[in-house]
Amino acid sequence: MVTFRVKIIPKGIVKEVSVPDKRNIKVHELIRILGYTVEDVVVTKDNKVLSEYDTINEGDEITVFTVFSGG
Amino acid sequence: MMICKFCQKKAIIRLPYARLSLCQVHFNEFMVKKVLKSIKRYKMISKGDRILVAVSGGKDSTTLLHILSLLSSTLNIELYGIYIDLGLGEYSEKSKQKVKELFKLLNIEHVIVDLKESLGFKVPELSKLSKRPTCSVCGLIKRYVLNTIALNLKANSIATGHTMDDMIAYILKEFILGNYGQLVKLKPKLEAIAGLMPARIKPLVEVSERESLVYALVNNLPIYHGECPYRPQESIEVEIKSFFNMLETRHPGIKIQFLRKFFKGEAVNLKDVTLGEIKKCSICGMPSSTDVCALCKLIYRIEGSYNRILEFLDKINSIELLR
Repeated sequence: MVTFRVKIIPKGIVKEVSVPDKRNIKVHELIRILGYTVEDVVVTKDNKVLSEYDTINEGDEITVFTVFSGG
Repeated sequence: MMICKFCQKKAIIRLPYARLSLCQVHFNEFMVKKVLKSIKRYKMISKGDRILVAVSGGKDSTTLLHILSLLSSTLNIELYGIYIDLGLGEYSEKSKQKVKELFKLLNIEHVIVDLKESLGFKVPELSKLSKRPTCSVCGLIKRYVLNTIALNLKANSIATGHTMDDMIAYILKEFILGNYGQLVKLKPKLEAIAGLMPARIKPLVEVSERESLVYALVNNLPIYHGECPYRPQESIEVEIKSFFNMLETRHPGIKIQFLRKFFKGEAVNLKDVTLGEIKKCSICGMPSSTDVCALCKLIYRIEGSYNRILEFLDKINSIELLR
């Protein structure tokens, strides 16, 4: 099982995501688990933009920016 | 690991519609070239133009000003920035802070208009007193202030950060609501009306919001990625944008294809749709489709007099340019 914390901006929601039977997952898998498409969000780790094929590991603090914000 | 098509370094973004995966350096290059191509494709800018860039603190207008500042010598243009503090509480405060940082970072001459100081009302107060929806009052104020300041600065055009996603959402919304006359306003360039209205340009018209956000993040630009507290919970625009993102995921390129065909006039002949007659407001002299403009009418409805609007004009026209 892999578990990591995901902060969703601008909603400010923090979600804990657990995926059984895995040691890590790809960014595009996380996006799908959260119910978005790749076009809907930008994912960062330590202020660095991740591509959809980057890997997320246990304990990583991930930020997901939904692209439609503002007024 | 996904690698950049041009340098084999680690890619940060994949753009299926362009069949590209790009590293940070080549993504930046791609974005600047893309905006330049749109400016040329839709003949938005001429050499020597003075352009007032409307900046809100969000990712799109921030990306726009950054890219235009990089292109300013190539295009031979003069840039000015404007931020309007609409009085939307913490949202306005945080946005204003980011915009100030941006203007400083890019060394852009700019104007900051504080609505409460210059008009005496914040947008939510105006909305309450006039019994008009907040978003409608907000749009009205922004158009009015941008036009006034642009005329005062003798700017040829006003550049806004409307993206490809915005344009698709607006086009479909106006279709759905049957407001076909509004479609002409959605062109990438709305021509100037001499002495009354500078041109309106949308250089990010072929840039998606995802690209704009990635550009702002990888360049560490000061942005406030917040949500306006007055934005409707169920906005048609956001629902259309989400739907088109789902389509784009399954059919890469569908958004840009739709937009280009629309602008070519394949769905609606935009030449046949006009803005209607634009007159000078008999009270304040700003552009209007009727004898008295919408803002003058709104103020009159609240106060029974036009005095405040004339004082407002004097105040915002005397705001100094800052650097």
